[in-house]
Amino acid sequence: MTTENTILNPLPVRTWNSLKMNEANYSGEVPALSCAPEITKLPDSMKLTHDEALTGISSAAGELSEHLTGDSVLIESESEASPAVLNYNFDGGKTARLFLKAKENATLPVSVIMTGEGTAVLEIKILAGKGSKVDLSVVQSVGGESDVITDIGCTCEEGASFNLTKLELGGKSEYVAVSVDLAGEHSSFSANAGYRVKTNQSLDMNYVVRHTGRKTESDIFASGILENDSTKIFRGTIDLIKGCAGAKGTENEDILLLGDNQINQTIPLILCNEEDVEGNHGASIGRLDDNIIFYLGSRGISPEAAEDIIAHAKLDAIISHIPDGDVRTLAHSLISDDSDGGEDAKL
Amino acid sequence: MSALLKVNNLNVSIDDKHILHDVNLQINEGEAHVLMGPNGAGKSTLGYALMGNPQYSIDSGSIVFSGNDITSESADKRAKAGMFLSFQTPLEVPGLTVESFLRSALEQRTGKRLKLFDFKKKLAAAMELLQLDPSYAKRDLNVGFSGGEKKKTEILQLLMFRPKLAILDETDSGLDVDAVRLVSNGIKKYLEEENGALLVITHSTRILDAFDIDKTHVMVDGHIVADGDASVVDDINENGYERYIELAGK
Repeated sequence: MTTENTILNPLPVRTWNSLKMNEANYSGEVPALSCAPEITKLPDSMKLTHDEALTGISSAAGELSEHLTGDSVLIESESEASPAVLNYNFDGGKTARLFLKAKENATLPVSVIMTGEGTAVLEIKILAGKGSKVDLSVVQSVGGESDVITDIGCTCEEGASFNLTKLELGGKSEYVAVSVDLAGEHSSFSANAGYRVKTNQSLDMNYVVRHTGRKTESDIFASGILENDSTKIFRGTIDLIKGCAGAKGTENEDILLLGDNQINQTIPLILCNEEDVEGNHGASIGRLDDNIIFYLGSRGISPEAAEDIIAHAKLDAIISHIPDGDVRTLAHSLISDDSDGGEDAKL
Repeated sequence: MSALLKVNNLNVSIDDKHILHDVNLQINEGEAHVLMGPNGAGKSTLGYALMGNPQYSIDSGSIVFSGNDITSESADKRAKAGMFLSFQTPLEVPGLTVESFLRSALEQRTGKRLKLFDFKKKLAAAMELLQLDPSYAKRDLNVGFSGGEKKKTEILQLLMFRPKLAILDETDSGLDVDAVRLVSNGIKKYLEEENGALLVITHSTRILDAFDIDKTHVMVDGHIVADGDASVVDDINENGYERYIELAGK
C-alpha cells in the first residue's frame, strides 16, 4: 500500500507549529508482504504461536499504525527465561508484527535484529503482566536506501517493568515510535536509545510515556552521533496523568556532532495533571571537546580516531544494556566495522 | 649519550600572552631531569608546549625529538614518536573504559591489532604494581576517580605505552604518602625496563626520592634561570626560590 502524507510520530499535544516539529509526514510504501522471523534462540520456557495478536496496546506512530496488517508472531513467557533472539530480514520490503506477553512475575528478554534491504516496517506490541519484567532490545541495521519504521507499544500492569534498548544503525529514513502505558502501580519503563545517523540519513523518534498508575517511574535516555548533513528529531513526552501520585519521569538526550550541516531537533515535553509528581528533562549537544582531543592525542590517538573512539564509546554504553551476549557481540561488530547494515548484520 | 630532546630558544604564548622566553633544554636518552619553580612560573606550559597542545602558540624556537624537528607536529604524532605527558589534572572521558582506551591507544601507536591475552596480562601486572583494583579497567576513564586514582591511572598509561620520554606534570601533587610510594614504584619500573628519560615538573620534592636526578632546571616567570645537578633540589628545599626569583630580575 502506498501512503501519501500520512501523519507519523505525532506529539500528543501539538506545540511547535511554527517549527514544524509536531509530527512527520510519511509518503511511501507500506509493504503488504509479511516478514517471518528466523528464530535464533527460543528458551523452552517461552511459547511461540503464529497469528495471534494482542489488542488494546497504544501506539505513538500516528495514522500509519492503522495500516499495519499481516502475519504475526506471539511469544509468551510464564516464568524466568533466558533471552530469545529473532532475526527479521526485510529484503525487498516487508512488514513484521511481533507480540510479546509476559505473564505474572515472568521475565521476557527478547532481542530483535533487523536486517536486509527494502522498506522495513516492524510493529511490536507488549503486555507486561503483574510483577513481570520485559527486556526488549532492537538492533536496527537495515541497509542501503531503505525506509525503516518501528512501532513499539507496551502496557505495564502493577509492578511490571519494561526495559527497552534500541540501536539505530541503518536505513536512509528511519521513524521510531514508542508508546508506553504505565497503568499499574509501581510499574516502570526504562529506555536506552543509541543512534548513529550517517551522511544524508534522517532519524525521527517519538517516545511517549503515560503515567496513569501511582508511583510509576520512567527514564528515557537517548544518546547518539550525527554525521555530515544528517537530520534527527527526538520527541520525548512524559505524560503525568491525574491519579499517578508519586510518579517520576526523566528524559535526557546527549548528542555528539561529527562533521557539519546537521539538523538536530529535540523536544522534551512534560505534561502534568497531577501535583505530587516529578518530571525532569535535559539535553546536551556539542562537538568533541578540544581538551579531550588533546588528551587522547597525547596518547597517540589522532583527532579522527578520537572522534571515532568517543562515538563508539557512546554506542557501547547503550549496547551494554542488551541482555543477550551474542547480540551484544554482533552490535559491537556492527559499529566497529562501520557497517551499512544489510545481510551482514545477521546473527 | 645522544640527545633525545633538544629545545632551542623556545618562545610560547597563549591568548597573545607571552609565557615562555627563550627556553633551552637538552635531555639525553635515559636521563632524569627535574624542572622546578614557584607557582605560575610556566612549568606546565612547557610540558603542554612540548606535547603539542594547540592552545599554546609556539612563536619562535624549535623542538627536536629523536633527531626530528617536531615543532609543528600534532600531539598524536609526538606521542607516536615516543613522547608522553602525565597530566596534572587528567581528563574524564565518559563512555570510554580504561581498558578500551588503552587498547585503542596502543593499537593507534603501533598500527597493529593487539593480542588480547598479552594485553590483559600486561595490564593486570601494571595495575597490581600500582595497587589499582582490577575493576578499574572496566570503568570509564577517570570518571568518578579520586585524585590519587587519576594520577595512578596516568602512571598506568606510562607503564603500558613505554615512551622514550615521560614528562610528569605535578604527578605527586594531591597524593598521600602511600600513593606517592606507589606512583614512585611505577616510575621506577618504567626507568628500569625502558631506560626511559624523564622530565619531572614539580614544586615539591616528594617524588624525587624515586630516582637519581641527572639535572635540575629552575624556571621563574617563563625563564630558565638556573641549571644544575641534584644539589639544586637540596638548595631549594633549604632556602626556597628567593635566590632564583632574584636571578630572574625581580
